[in-house]
Amino acid sequence: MQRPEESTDATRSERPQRTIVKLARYRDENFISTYSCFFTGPINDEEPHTFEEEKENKEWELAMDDEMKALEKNQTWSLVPKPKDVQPVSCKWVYKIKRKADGSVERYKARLVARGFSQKYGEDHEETFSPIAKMISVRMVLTLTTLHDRKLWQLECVLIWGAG
Amino acid sequence: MCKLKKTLYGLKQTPRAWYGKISQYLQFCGYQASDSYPSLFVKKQGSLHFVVLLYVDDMIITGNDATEVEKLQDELASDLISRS
Repeated sequence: MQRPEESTDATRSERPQRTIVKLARYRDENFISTYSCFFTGPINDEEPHTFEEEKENKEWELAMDDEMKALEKNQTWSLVPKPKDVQPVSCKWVYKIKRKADGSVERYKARLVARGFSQKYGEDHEETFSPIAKMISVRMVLTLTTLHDRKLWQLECVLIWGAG
Repeated sequence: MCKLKKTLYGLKQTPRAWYGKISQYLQFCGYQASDSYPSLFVKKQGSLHFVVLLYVDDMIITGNDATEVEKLQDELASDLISRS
């Protein structure tokens, strides 16, 4: 399957891009090596921001192939000629390095995302509300489970954005 | 141009589509979404009762019959790709 390329910079300018400045302690090598296991965010800037930046890199190349295979397996889309009156939603690649607790690289992850901020309510989509449990309800279920001496199971679904 | 048959990360409809899919699946398994709290699913079967609480892609399940819950867990794993 052919990989969709990112749209040109015409749409990029619609959205303000922020510059990320790290706090001083996150630039301190000593601090990083001592406390790396507590970090949730990236501690360095190895993640490319655009398709152009990574093009030549083998790890990202493989990561994108993986994502494409998953999308293909899921039968995410079919290729159609563009109807006259529609404005397609553009897409882009997002690159993420998954790290282990000690900060070493676990895997390179590339995800193809839709740039949904161009969608308009009523025109491109209708309802978007999705009910989610409040934390207080989670605690209530946990409490009831304990009170009644029941067993509890926890599970997580993957690839949920490929739903329906 | 690509015509999407499934949702993609980043679309406005994605969270809604996921809720639609998981709630439909749980209903198929005999769970009823609570009217006043739609992320809570309940199943009653004689003296057995089960509760599923949904937090986007994460859920906790409890009930008074372990085999039934494990069955649901297996079904979710094969039909919807989950990991416990």
